[in-house]
Amino acid sequence: MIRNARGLEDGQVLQCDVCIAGAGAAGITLARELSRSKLSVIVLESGGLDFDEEIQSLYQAQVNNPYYNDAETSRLRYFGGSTNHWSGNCGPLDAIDFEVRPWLPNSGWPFTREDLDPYYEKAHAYCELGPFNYALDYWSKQRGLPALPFDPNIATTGFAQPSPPTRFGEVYRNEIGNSENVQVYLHANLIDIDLHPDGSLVEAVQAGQLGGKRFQVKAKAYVLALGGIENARLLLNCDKVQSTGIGNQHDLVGRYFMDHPVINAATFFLSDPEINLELYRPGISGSNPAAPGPVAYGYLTLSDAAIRRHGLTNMRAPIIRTTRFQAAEGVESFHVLQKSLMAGEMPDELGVHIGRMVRDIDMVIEGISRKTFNTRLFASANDMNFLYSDIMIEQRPEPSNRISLSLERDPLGLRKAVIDWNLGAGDKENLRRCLELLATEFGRAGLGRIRIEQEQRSRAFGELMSLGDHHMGTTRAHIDSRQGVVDGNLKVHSVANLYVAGSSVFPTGGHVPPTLTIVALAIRMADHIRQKLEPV
Amino acid sequence: MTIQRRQFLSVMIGAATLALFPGDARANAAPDAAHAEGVESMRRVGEAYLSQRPAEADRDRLRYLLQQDLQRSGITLCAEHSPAGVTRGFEDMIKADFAANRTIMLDGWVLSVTECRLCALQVIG
Repeated sequence: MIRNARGLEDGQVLQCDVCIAGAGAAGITLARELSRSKLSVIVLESGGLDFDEEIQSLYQAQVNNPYYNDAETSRLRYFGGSTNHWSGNCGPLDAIDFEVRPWLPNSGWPFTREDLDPYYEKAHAYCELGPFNYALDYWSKQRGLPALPFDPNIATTGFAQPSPPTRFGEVYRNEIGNSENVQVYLHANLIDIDLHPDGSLVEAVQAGQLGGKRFQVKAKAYVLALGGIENARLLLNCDKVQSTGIGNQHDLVGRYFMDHPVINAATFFLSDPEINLELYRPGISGSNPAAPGPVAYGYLTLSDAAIRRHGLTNMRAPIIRTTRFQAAEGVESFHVLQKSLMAGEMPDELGVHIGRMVRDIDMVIEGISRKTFNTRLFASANDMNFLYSDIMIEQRPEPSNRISLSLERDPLGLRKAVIDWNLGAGDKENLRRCLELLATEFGRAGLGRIRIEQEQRSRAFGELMSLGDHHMGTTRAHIDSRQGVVDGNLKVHSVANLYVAGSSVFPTGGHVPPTLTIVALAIRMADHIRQKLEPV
Repeated sequence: MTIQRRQFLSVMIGAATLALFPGDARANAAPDAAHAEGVESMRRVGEAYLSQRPAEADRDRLRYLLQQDLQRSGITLCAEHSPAGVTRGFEDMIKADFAANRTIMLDGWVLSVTECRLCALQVIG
């Protein structure tokens, strides 16, 4: 049943077996899985069934990087959470992502990809995907399309599957609403966690509405499924018993914050324009009459052997077609020049920038016309003969990237989040080395050349960089309580009945959008909680 | 980036072949405007290569090194050389360079040593 917490009385106490805070991909999956159990479940959701500006503003945070996305718009705070605006790009993390990689400090999950595979398979159904199969041979045969002929010791073709995208709040609303043992309370914000005085157990959680009544939930187990930033923020805010915040004895909560930077860093020059790249063209699930059924599409990535040999982190390079206008270096140089001159500076390589502008003068004029007069001038600006890549890279887990608390409080009385996020020199160097390997292999295979743009474009790691808005790592999982906030069951080490769901538990993030893994982990957590709590 | 830059690879071998064999009739052909960007990219790569390897900043030295490369590909330079054969020889050399990881990153391009020398020859030739 889905209720409005506004109907509760002030001070009311609710009882259940499992209390889940947050109704995004993790919370809804967990609730749906537990709806098939004998356990009673309460889900607390801050928002309603639709977007509400006032509730959304509870996501306001201080971001200490002008190039990092606004935390108020990068996620959504209502039933369904950020699945209400996700793009649906899915895939499992690679097996190597779960390993302790000696060349990557703080890597290693407390379980393997093989352990997670059965849950990934179930997660596929949640995200309305095709078969749980990401093998090159399978998809090449299935689609009747060739893959690029890479040496498998160096590079390979990875696959992503497109979710419709599944809006969890819409798709699973009725099922959860009709469940007898799951009660969803909308407009119910988790405000505080009451720990036993020795800190070992959650006794109750305090919840309430914006400017309204407060109530309490008492459960046998509690799950935070609030998102990668909010999970840490809430734990840090709850400092009545543990002064540094719950689970934060080793100063780990909020640290190792990661995202997936997307860098426009490579341009492809084919040796033969007839090279077949159809396997790499994004498809829409089930919509292609020539290839009915779900369609996976390829991207370039490095082989595990190359990653190990060269001590790299993971990455993916999709091949993207674009227009002449989007690809024009002269337009890029125009922006660099404009920005420098406005700052009263001369850019490096002034002659190069002027030369590019002269060569691309029609596209520079096109850009000015589009921006100033909202008018398009040159038909050739829309030629789609250019290939580039937005590289999604695995960010190194660094403790200095973190969520901490501001002195400023939100209307619920919780201290707001401060986000420190930077892309380190190691990440940039890693990207350059990955691309150099990929470019060498592209040439060796006789496919043409890849030009690595990061050396050319000073803005590649600045305003041209985009982000996946995949908030990961802030309550990292590790079997050792000195290295992780949660254990292998995603339970907070120091608290017997408090769990954390979502991408905040990822110790490392691979190059894969996190939703499928979030869902798989939630299914796995539901199994664990059932085994622990369900009466036999 | 302009569409002409896509011509970079084909321009490079052709132009450098001319530099190697200045007596060839094609040397008198006016440069194709469509190849201008390719030539510009070549020049930048050539300059970057020469600044990395100043010992090769000599036309005769570069010609010698490239001719050696060609001979390893089974191409012998003589008065009766076939331009098409020379081009094929360079293409084979470039493939062999990539297979043996004889590559260099210059000006954002990952290129074979042979390609870089061809660009350098164009700069000083």
